[in-house]
Amino acid sequence: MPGREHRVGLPSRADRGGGARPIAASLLFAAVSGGVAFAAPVTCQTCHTREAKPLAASVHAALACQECHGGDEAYAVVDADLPRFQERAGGAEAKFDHGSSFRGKPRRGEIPERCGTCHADVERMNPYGLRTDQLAAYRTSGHGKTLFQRGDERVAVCTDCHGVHDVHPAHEATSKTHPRNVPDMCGSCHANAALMAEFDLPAGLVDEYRHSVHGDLLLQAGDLGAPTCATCHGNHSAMPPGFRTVGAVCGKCHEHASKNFETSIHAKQPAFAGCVQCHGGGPSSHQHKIERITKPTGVMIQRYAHLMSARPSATPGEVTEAIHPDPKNLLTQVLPGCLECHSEPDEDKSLAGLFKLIDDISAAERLYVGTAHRLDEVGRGVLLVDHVRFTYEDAKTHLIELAPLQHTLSNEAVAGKVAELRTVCTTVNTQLDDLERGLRWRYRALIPVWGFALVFAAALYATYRRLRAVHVQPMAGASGK
Amino acid sequence: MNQKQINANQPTRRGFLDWIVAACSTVTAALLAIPAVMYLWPAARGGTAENVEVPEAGSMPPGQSRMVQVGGKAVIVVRDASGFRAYSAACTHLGCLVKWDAAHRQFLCPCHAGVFDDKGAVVSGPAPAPLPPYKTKEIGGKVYVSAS
Repeated sequence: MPGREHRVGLPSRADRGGGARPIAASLLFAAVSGGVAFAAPVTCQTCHTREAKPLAASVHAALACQECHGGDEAYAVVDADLPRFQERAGGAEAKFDHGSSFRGKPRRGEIPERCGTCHADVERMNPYGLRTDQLAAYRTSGHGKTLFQRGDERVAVCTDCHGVHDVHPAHEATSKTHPRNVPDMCGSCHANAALMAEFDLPAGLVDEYRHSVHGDLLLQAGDLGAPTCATCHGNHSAMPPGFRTVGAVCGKCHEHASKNFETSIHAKQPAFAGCVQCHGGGPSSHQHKIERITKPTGVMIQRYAHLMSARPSATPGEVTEAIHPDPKNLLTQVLPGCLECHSEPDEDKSLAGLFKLIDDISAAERLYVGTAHRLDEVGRGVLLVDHVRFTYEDAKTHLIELAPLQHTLSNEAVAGKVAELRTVCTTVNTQLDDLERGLRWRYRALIPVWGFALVFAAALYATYRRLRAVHVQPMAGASGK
Repeated sequence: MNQKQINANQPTRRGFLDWIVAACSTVTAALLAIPAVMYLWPAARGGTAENVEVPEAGSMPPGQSRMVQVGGKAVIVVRDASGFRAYSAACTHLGCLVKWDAAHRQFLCPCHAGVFDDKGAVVSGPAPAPLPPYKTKEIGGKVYVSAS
């Protein structure tokens, strides 16, 4: 946080002489006039309380007002005038002389460079570990270009996103730049229909985002790792990606899916709009309602865990029914998107490949769930299945790998991964078979064990009776005489 | 051979009972003794459930890894110049098993491209947390892994 001690290059009041002049002039006036009552030297905070309070709680709390607004650190004000200045502080009628160094409230167009005097200063930002390329990045953004090239001051400047005197670091929940607040912050302009109409931009994008898979994650599930507006568009260099580059943007997070897509036949089609061709949704053509086509594997695994927790005695059929979507349902979800381009499904052989791909993945998911269910069933009994679960972990990895792999649209690649998963599931089932066979053998082995115990007990009892007949009964007979 | 000697050599009911009792006692004592004796050499059986021996750790060349199971969890053990280190093999994103990339000295998650450095810290990708570490110790030329 910039503080007084870091005011590199800012001359002190004595050096500048700016603050001395109003005070000295006032004192001279007092001497000539024969004595006028002065308030104690007043500071900015004396009058500007509305700005001082949020500033004191902000990341810039240690920053002096003069660093942004110029002026002097203290002023001599006639006692009688002070209430008048306090009442009008910041208003248009304020006639207070802040001194020659006073720069006042910057115009909107001046703000980026005003902030940049510190935030683009490498030496000054170095102790705080802050980047200094924000101003340069801002100049490349849609906002910056509109401001600096067209002189249009209606665009977003630093204070619109970060606050004016109430700037807080992004990790604070109340900060305008906290991930959960970013959609609202961007929406303060981009959901304003009147303002967006002036720029010929759609005003529904933020609302589309709120209902997208990313918006759900961020705003409903509270996943702060989910992408916000700034994740895809950039923050200071905010600029919408074109359709041809949207894959690179998505690929920042969806790395494997993006790489796999690049090897697919779709990536070679000039008319194919990258990721958003299938995943984009929403009423506008800007595709901000990014959607999943099918439930991801992770959700299926979570559903299975919940079902097992709620109904441990569910049959394999019930589990499959509850957890795994019918392949026909998958097709009804996927097919409409395909038919936008593949208009002749009966004659289009590429769709047959897609159907096989979906069938393979569906079969793999059913196999995974079925094996998981059997493993849990066996594990609930007397058998220890930790080592089998250890083997089964590989099946989970293969299953999750299928999700990004399907973007290759390669039947061979998907079939290969499904085969790996099938091998693991077969191994797991074989291990479970062995365990259950061993258990049955142990049950049978109980027969000789119980026979042994029975014979041992009988022999001990017979020995006891013999010893009793030899030693105890004669003595009892003798004592009875 | 007189009658007394003949009777001594013939099996009697009393002798048979004594034999049964002695045999059963011996078997029972042995069944009780075996776990007690095995308790003295736990290392020979690969450690306890919480203290798992890395199989053939001595033959692992530096830079290589091996997967072991500790308390039902997959743990990846890596050998480097300074010894053995172990981390949970389950990626902290969705639980896929990470693989050791010896060339770049990092753990890679095959599912969503999560990357962890050789100390388990997140380098890139969607993983929200580092790989939890496990303890390793070398005793008598063998390497054991246990939960931290």
